[in-house]
Amino acid sequence: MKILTCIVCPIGCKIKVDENGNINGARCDRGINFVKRELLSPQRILTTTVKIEDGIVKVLPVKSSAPIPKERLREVVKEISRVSVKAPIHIGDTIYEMDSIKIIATRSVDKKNNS
Amino acid sequence: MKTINTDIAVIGGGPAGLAAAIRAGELGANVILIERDFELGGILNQCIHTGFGLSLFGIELTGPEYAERFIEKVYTLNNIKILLSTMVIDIQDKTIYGVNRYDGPIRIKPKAIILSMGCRERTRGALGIPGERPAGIYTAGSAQRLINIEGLMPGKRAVILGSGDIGMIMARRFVLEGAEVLGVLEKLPYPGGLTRNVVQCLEDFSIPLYLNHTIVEIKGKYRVEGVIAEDLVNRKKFSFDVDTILLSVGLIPENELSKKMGVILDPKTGGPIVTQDRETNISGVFACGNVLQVHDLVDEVTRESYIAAEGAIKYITGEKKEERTVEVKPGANIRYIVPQRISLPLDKPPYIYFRPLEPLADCEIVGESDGKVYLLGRTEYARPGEMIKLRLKKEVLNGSSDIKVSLEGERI
Repeated sequence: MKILTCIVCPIGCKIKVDENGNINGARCDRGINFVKRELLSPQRILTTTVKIEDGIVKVLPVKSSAPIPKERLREVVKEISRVSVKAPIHIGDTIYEMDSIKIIATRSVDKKNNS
Repeated sequence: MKTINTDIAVIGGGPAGLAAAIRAGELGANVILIERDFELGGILNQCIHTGFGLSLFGIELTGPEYAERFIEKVYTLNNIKILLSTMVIDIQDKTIYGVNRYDGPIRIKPKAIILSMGCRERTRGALGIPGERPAGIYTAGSAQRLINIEGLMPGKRAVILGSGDIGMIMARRFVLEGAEVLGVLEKLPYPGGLTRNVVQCLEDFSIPLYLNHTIVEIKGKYRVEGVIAEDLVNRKKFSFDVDTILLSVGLIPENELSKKMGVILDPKTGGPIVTQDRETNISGVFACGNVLQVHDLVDEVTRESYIAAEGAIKYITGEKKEERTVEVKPGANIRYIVPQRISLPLDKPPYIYFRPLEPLADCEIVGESDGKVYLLGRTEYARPGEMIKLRLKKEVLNGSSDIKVSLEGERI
């Protein structure tokens, strides 16, 4: 038997999966889906920052538009650490694409007013 | 001095202030929202990780995304005036004194005030760890600001003291940015933050969590050169070779302004004592968000701020009726309860928010009034790191005495 802590929401259900694949202890269906995915191929949303030029802030927060395989997190973050964008940026703008992974802006950044 | 008259002044433009201003604005009041930073959003702007908005919007947002939803909304309401880069320095007799570089000193005269200044981090000074005062010791939140807003990396090899949510989130952030995290040390036998963060921030990145451990000495004169940790169970000491220490050892509601104006604080929460409308002991002064009680989830901050805004509207329109108040007191196994007072009569029993003193399983939540005991609810788990929300039962409020709420369960 395996016990997994669900990370879908802050409740953190302890979900038990036995040898026959029976799932117990999830308070909702999202937890059941989480356990299935977690056992086959665990995935996470990646959040990090990229450089931004001419913006009112110095770095732009970004995320992967969909969960990506857990073992690829470090590789992807390394790749996008080289990315630099220019203000203005609107929330949801695509910042970078690699393979099937899309990195999008999680805030809007206005252009710095130099006056 | 420039003087502005308004219906409601909201102090602080983080998640609490944004929600309070929006709800008050939607209900027709003229609102002034005062923020000391150059932009709205507060601490959400540096919380670039996901986990926000699940309970309020049903989707998982990052901090900046959650903030932007409210920032966009607040700018669409014409009856809300926003003062950025403005510091409130004093409040006396419900007159707010502030300063900014556009107006110089200003005076704001509202009919009601909503306090939403948030909280700040507990620092090394509060812990009394012996050693020199080298560079490289940061609170988790200031390291978060350096990395996520300023684009600066505070160190290369870190140890984190305290397993609060920000500490665990920063452990992951350090690793993703190419630094090493040798461990997270927690003096209690259980983690301080949410279980999901233990999984997705520590276990996912093989960062060890040392429960029952603390730092007893910091080495290094100009820069941190290492720490000596102690296992509090067997009293064994060992060292970590690190150049950086992050502290995630608790948050303190930022109530200097509240105290100065005469608001009475609850020593347990560090925030004002309030009624179910989030009204403080000063009539017409309300509080919401982390300045009132340190929350786990921003969704609850937003909800609480709506309540405070509705309370402030009731106050300025004269709909507020209070015949008497009863106190809600924490009984066995409960650290604190908000609201601390309930103003009667009321149409619907209010929600109470509380935290247990220690982790418990199979709990019954019990209310006591006039010597009678009522079962208010049950919960499978109760953990100090997770706030419990419960609607009170009407019967408990019918008595003439104060209400005592206790938690009965098995220790885990």
